Amino acid sequence: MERPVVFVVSADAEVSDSIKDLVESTDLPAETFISLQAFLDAFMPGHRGCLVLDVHKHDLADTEWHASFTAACALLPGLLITDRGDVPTAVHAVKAGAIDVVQKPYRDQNLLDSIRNALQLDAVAHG
Amino acid sequence: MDEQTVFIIDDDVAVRDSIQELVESVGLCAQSYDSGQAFLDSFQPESSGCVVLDVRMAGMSGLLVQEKLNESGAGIPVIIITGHGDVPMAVRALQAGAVDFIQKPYRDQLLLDSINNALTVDAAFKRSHTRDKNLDQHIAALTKREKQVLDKLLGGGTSKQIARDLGISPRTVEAHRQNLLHKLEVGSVRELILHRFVRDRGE
Repeated sequence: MERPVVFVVSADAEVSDSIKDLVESTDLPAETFISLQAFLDAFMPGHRGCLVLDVHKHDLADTEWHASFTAACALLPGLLITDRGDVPTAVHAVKAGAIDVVQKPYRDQNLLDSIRNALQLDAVAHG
Repeated sequence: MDEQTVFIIDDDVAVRDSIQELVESVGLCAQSYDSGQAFLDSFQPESSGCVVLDVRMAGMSGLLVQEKLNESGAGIPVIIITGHGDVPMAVRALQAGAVDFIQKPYRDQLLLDSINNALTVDAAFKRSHTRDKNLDQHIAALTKREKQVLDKLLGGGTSKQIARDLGISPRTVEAHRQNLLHKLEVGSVRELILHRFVRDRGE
């Protein structure tokens, strides 16, 4: 069976690259995408892993983003990275299907723990 | 269906009164409690409506009230409001089943929208729950023969097969089928199978 992959989505390449480096430093494969739509276009059914999504307030107001997000959460467990203290975004995200929310700035270990948890959920759901 | 009540739990009297006023101003029924314990002591699990619950209270915390509600099996939707919330708390509350998590200060319309949404959720849940209960009662009231025929119909049997299995005529099977569908208030066996399927999946 294919190895699970951590799919990282962020409009900011620096953010996605830094998360990719972090994930790969623990010997897990990671792939980055500039947008949710790019991820959905590239996703092949049967791929396992989880989604790490860098989200901003303006995304939530966007109905297209919402539709993409719902579609993505149906494929893989999704965890969101939001600005510190942004409770409305976090609430919105969990109600829309995110399995966890990590606040910026985050301790690397916190993010890795959440990712590991998400990967485990995916493995259990599709094992 | 019973009238829906918005149950308000907050140990701050100003907040309690203000939410009660807001709810009543749009014609909804409200009931307030100054503590989680007071609410749980008087709450009937079958009550219709929703709960608006503050997280940080001097006595029992809102999250504990939510936990106890879950344990009691009450299906009533819970909206959490808080002046001290943070992201981890919000995530936890939602994962524990809260339908919304609202920070103070909030726009009145936001809380009202959330309440209306919760009431809609509760109405749907209660309707389906009532249908299930009625169906169970009707099934219990069937005659022994009708129950036999029902079991075989649910198993996919045709009138001819059922007639053979039970040693009666196909016409008699048909008569039983009509009678039991009428007693169960469903239009067809397919409807009954679908209903059961939906219910079992929800368990």
